[in-house]
Amino acid sequence: MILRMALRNLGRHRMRSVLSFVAIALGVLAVVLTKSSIDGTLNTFTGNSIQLTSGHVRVTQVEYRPKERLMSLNYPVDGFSGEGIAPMVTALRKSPLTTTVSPRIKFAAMASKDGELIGMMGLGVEPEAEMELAKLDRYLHAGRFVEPGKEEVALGATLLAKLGLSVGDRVTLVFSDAFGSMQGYSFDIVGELRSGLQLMDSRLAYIPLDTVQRMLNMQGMATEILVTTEHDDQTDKLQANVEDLLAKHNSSDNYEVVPWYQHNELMAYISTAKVSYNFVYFFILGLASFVVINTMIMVVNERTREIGMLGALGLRPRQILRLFLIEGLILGIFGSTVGTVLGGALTKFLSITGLKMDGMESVGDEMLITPTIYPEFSPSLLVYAFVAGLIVSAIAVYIPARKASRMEPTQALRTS
Amino acid sequence: MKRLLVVLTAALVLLAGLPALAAELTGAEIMEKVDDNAYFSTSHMRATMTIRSRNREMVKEMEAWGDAESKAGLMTFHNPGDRGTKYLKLGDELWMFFPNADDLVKISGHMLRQGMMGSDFSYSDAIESEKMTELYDFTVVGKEKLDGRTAYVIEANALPGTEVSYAKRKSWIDTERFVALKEELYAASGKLMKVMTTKKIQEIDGRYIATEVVMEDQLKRNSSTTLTITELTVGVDIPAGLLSLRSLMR
Repeated sequence: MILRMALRNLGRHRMRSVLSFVAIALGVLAVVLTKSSIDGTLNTFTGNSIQLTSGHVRVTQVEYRPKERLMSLNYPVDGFSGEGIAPMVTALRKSPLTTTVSPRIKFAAMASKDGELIGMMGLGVEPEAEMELAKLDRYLHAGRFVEPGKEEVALGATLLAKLGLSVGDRVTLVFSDAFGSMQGYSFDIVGELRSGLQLMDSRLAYIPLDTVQRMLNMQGMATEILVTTEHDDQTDKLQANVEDLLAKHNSSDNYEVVPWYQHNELMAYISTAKVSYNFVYFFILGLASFVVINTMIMVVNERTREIGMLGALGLRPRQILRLFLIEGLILGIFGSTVGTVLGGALTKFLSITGLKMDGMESVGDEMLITPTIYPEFSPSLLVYAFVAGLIVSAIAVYIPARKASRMEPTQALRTS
Repeated sequence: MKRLLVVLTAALVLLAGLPALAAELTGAEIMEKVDDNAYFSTSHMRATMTIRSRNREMVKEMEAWGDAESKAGLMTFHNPGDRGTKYLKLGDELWMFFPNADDLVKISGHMLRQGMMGSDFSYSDAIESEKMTELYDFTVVGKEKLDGRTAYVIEANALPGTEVSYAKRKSWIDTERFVALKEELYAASGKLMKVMTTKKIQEIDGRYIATEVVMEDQLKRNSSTTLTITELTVGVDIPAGLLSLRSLMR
């Protein structure tokens, strides 16, 4: 009976009900879009960071990290006890949970163009492992990726444009080898990478690892070994496995195993950001709920006589409270449902087409974000937004409903 | 009476010393003599550069031709790791040839301040060919004994408008052979950048030449480079076209 009364009441002031319903729906829609975009951006960032810079865990020499910005070659990984990285890489590949192992050498290089030198980051990689780790297929805009043993390079699109070169040309790179000797080599440009990531497009030069080891006098060495596993939440177990492996070979003191979330300071910020953004979502819904609160207060005020009548007819305060709560919840359920469905559909669409953000091109190298954001569509997001919409509308409606339930019937009847 | 004697004696000693003081050279004159010693119209030399960094040691072998008139010089490396690498200085430009590269590479600007081949000598240290007296203003601040030799202590400040690697230098110049026994090289901020110490001096063609010097970059930890000249010929005929970009590519 109370449900029927609630529905009838909502129908009596259709315009007001529609306004409240639209407010909730828009609030939920905004939450779906905002959360999916923010999640998409942050997850893209962490995903790119794992794939391009940190792996799920990264093995380096203990002293390497503080000198990493200088791209020092003085602190290499050279195996469990200096025998070269091959046995270590094999052991890591055999380790449970491991999906990819990519040994790399990061070094500073410059390309010579018209007497000017253009700085870049050389990256010596095992082509197959790196392709799998960084999923480079998707970024290969022209040509192919480098092949082992060859003196060839794959460069970012922006860097190529700056050098005025393209796939098929040759480029001369200058760099210091492990002994500090200046060396110069010419490479065939075999691939052009276009990712939208500043780091990759304007700074990276992929060269086969064995070629780089030879050029830099670093045979059997790498500056870092990136290891990944199937899922992000297996990182801690993977880290423990790798640390155990190093301990078993008495090389724990030389190397450190750093998980992706400790790779740099930005990662720590992102973990915090993910939690704090929940406040933003509830704030958006809170704003939308003002319309609902306002509507319900108006309803309660307008229906004071009616409330008095209901009380006089024997409806208990609890039942009056329930009546108004149900009215509010009906609005909440419908509003949240429509908001979730529309938001979900829009998110799904945008997760395929992407959302172009102008100005993102100027973000720094460390921000591994592309100018096009792909909002993240997931069922959990829809459940989150729907439930959040419902909770906020329930809270919003409770205050006026309680006011109504506490009215004295005689006093209410006297009110004109 | 005794007191008077002391004063008189002191006055006599001072008077006796006056001609000697009057004959003292100025900073510029001392450095001109140093320049005369170290400045060759043309030269050819072979040298080794031993670079010590932390616990590693590397030896570079090189051969260099120099022509002071045209401010040109060619350096060729012969040690296994750098064999075939050549540096050509033409005026203020430094061109590099690498055996594995198609193109020549030009180094300029701040790059010239980088350690040459990972050593404590910068490219600028290696290629600066101007006379010291053209670049600095000198003041003699005293005399000191250094490794048993008497040396003028001279402070040099860069002349306004000149482009130099070190804004200030403090040099210990052998009073008889006019060779720098030690040099402290400072940045404009007053920070000590490098210390150069001469380990061996030889007389070649009537000039005193520092044939073994050690450079220590104060900004690097446990790092030093010893440059040893193993062979030096002054006034040589430089093969025609040798100091040119075309010959660098050959």
